[in-house]
Amino acid sequence: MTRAPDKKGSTKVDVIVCGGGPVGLSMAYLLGRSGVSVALFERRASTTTLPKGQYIHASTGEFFRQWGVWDLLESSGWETERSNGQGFYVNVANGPVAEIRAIFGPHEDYVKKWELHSPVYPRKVPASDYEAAIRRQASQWASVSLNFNSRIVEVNESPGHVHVTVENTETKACNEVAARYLVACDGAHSFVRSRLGGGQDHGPTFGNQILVEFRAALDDTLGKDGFFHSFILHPQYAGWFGSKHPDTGLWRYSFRHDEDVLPPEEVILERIRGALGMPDLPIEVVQTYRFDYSTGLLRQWREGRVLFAGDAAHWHSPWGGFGMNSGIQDANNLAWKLDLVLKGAASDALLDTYQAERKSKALITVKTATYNSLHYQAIAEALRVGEGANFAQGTISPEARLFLSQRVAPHGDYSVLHTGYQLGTVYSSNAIVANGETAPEPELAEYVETTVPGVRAPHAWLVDHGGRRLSTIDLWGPGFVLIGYQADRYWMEAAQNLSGSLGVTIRCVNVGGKQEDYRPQDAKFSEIYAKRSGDMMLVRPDGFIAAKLNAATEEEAYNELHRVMRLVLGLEKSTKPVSDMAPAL
Amino acid sequence: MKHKLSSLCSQVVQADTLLQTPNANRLFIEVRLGAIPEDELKSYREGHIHGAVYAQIRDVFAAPPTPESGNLPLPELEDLRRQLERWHVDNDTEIVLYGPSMALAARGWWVLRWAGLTNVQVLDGGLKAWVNHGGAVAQGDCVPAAKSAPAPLVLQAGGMPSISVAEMESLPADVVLIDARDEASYLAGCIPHARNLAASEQWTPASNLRTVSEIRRLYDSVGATANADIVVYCGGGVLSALEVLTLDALGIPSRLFVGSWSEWNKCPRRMALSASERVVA
Repeated sequence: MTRAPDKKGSTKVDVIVCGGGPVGLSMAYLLGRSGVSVALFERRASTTTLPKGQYIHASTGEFFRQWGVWDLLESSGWETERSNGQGFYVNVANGPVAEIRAIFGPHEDYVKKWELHSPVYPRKVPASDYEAAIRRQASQWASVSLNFNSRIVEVNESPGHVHVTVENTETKACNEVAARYLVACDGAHSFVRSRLGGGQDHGPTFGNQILVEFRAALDDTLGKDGFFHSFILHPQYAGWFGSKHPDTGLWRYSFRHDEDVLPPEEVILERIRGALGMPDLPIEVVQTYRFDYSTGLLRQWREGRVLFAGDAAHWHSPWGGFGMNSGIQDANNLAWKLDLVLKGAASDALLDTYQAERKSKALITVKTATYNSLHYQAIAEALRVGEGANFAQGTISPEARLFLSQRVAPHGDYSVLHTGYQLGTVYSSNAIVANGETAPEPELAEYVETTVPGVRAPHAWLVDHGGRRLSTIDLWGPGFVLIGYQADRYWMEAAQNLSGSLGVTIRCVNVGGKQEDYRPQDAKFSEIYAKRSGDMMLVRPDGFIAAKLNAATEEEAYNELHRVMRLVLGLEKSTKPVSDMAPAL
Repeated sequence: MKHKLSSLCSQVVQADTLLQTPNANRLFIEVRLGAIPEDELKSYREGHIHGAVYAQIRDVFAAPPTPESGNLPLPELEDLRRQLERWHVDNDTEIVLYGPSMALAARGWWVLRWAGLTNVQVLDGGLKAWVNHGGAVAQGDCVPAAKSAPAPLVLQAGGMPSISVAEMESLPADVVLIDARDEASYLAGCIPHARNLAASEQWTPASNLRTVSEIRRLYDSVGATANADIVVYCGGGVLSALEVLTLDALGIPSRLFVGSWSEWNKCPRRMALSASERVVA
C-alpha cells in the first residue's frame, strides 16, 4: 500500500501509530524496518524533555543494541558509579543510613556481572536522549512518516480500515488518514482508549507529586554517595533526590504536595535545605513539575483493527522503572505480528496472541509497581514510629537502622535490581509451541536461563568468521531464526524452502561444527542451546523461543519446521486446548 | 437476596444483576452535585463505570434557580430531551444511575421518571459495588456511540407525583411530612409539622442501601405506612428523592416537594409559619 491520497482525499497507510513517545517510536522503527508504511502522530512538538523515565532495563537495552540505539547512546546518560542504586537518609549531610547497590566495584565489574546474561546492562539515560535516538533510527525508513504537532481528534472504524482525523496543533488544519491497523501508544490518558476502549480495571492513585529541578553544589555529598535515587526518611522533608543530570547539571528533588497551587519558592528552598541538612546551601530552583500517577489495566488490548500498547494498555507508578521498558516490550511483541498479518503470511489470529502474551506480563508489572510504591511507604512509616526525638537530631536509633537495612534488601530486589523481571519473561499463547517442558516460574529478582519455548532466547557470546564477537541476541529479528549447535545441513534447506513457500524469512544459524556460521566463544552456547543433541531453537523476530525442534532426517526436519511455523503463524489450530495455552485474562 | 431493596422493586438494581444481563441499549449516568463542579468532573474523569456519561444535577436534572424557586427546580422538558438525545437515549434505553451518594442517583431517577421514562434504575452501592463485582471502569470522557437506527425519544412530564409550594402552605394535618435532611439542618428550621428522617441513615458507609427491614423500621418510626398520605422534602429535592425511591420500593406512595426548604425559605410569610409552628421531635 502506498502513502498517497485516495479519491476522498484521505491518506492511506498500513499502520497508524498514535503517540510519539518511546513506545510509538519503537513501533514505527520496527514496522519501518519490515517495510510497512507507517504514519505516526504525536501532539507534542518533539520528543520529551521531561526529567523522568530514565531506567533502561537490560531487556530493553538488548533491543536498543539490535536497533543501533544502544550505540547512539554510548556517551549519554549517567555513569554507573553516579547512578548506583538507592540510598536512604535522615538528611543527606549526615550520610546514608541504608543502601541498595547495583554494583560494589567499578563499571567494568558491573558489565562483567551482566555479561553472564546479556550483552548489555541496565543503564540510566534521560528519556530525552533515548527518545531522540529511537526517533532518529525510525526516521531512516522510507516507509515511515513521523508527524509531530499532530493531534488525533477523531477515530472511527469501518470494515477493513480504521480512520483518524489529525489536527495540526499549530495551524489547526485537519487531515483524514486511513490505515489497516492503528496502534494506540498515546499514554496513560490515551485518547484512542477513551473512544474505543472496552473498559479498564483501576488501582491506587499516587497523586500530587512535585518535582523540582535545581542547581546546587552537591558533588561532594549527594554526588559522592553516587545513588541514583536518595530517599529522605525525615517526615518533615519526606521525598527523594535524583542524581545530577549528566547534561544539564541539575539535581532533582521530589515530594508530595496536596494542594493545587505550587508551594512558594521559599518553602521549596527550605524543604530542599532541610532534606539535605544544609541550611545555608545556595540553591537555584530552575523548574518545577507536577505529576500524578494512577494505576490501571485495559481489559481488551485489541478492538477490531485497533491495538493498545504501553501506558495506553497498562499504567502505574514509576517505582521500578517499568513503564517505558514494558511498553517497548509490547511494541517488540506486536510489530512482527502486524507485519506478517499485513503481508498475508500469518492469520489475523496471530494478533490475538499479543494480548495473551503481554497482558500476562502487564498484570505482574502493575502489581509490582503498585507494591513497590506502597511497600516503600510502609517501610518509611514503620521506621518513623518512636524515632521523633532522633529525627530532630538528624539520626535514627540502631534498631531503626537494623530494621531499615533488613527491609530495604527485598525492596531493592523488586524495585531496582529485578533481573528476573527484566530477563525472565515467559509467554504462553498460540504463537508458542509448547513441548511439555516447563519454564521456571517467573520471579522478580532471580533469572534462570532456559530454552523452554516461550522464554526470551538466552544470551551467549559467539565469534564470526572475521573474529568479531557478537551475542546471540544480535541475531534476532527482523525474521525468524532457526539456531542450533553443530546443526545438520538439512535444517538449512528446510528453512530456505519454507521461507519461500510461507513468505516468512527463516534464517538458519549454525553455531560450531564443520559448516558453522559462528563459533561459540565459550561453553555457554552448547550448555544452554544444546542440552539435547540435535535440538534446534526457532526464535521469533522478537527474540522469544517459539519452538524447540528435533529431527533425524531431511524430510522430518522439513515437516517439523513446517508444522511449528504453521502453528506459530496461526495458519493451523493448535491441538492443545485453547484454555491451556492462553489463560483467560 | 430478599433482604435487599432491589428484591422488592425494579427501581433499584444490584451490580451483579447488571453484569449478568448485558444490554446494548443500556446507559450509565454518573450523577454529581458537589460545590465545585470542576472537581466533580475531574473526579469522574479519574474513574467511572465504563460507558457512563457525566451528569451534573444543576445542568441536567434541574433548571437554573429563580429568585422565588428552590435551589434545584425541575428542568425544562425540552432541555432534558435534548441532553438525553445527545447521549442517544430512546424510550427503550435502560438507564442506570449512580453517584457518590445514593441520593444523587435518586434525584436523577426521580427526574427521568417524572419525564415519563420507565426503564430507569439506581445502582445499589454505586461505583464501588460495580468494581467489587468485577465491572469494568474507564478514565477520561465518554462519548456514547450513536445507534444505527435511532428511535425517537418522547418525554411527558408528570410521571411522578409532586406537590407545589402553594399546596405545601395548606397541607392537611393528617399528612405525614418528612424532612430528609440531616438533624442539624432540620433543627435549624423546618416546614411546620415535619418529622425528621435523615436520608443518610438509609445507606451504609460503603454506600449500599440498608436492608429492607432496617429501612422499613425507619419509616415506621415516623408513621410513614402504606395508608398514610406522605410528602417528602429536603434542602433542594435530592435527599428527599432517595426517600421517595425507598418508599416506592416498599410499596408506599409519596409525593416530592421538589422546591423543598430552599424554596420554602424564600418567603418571609412562610418563614414566620415555620417559626411559630415549630415542632421538635
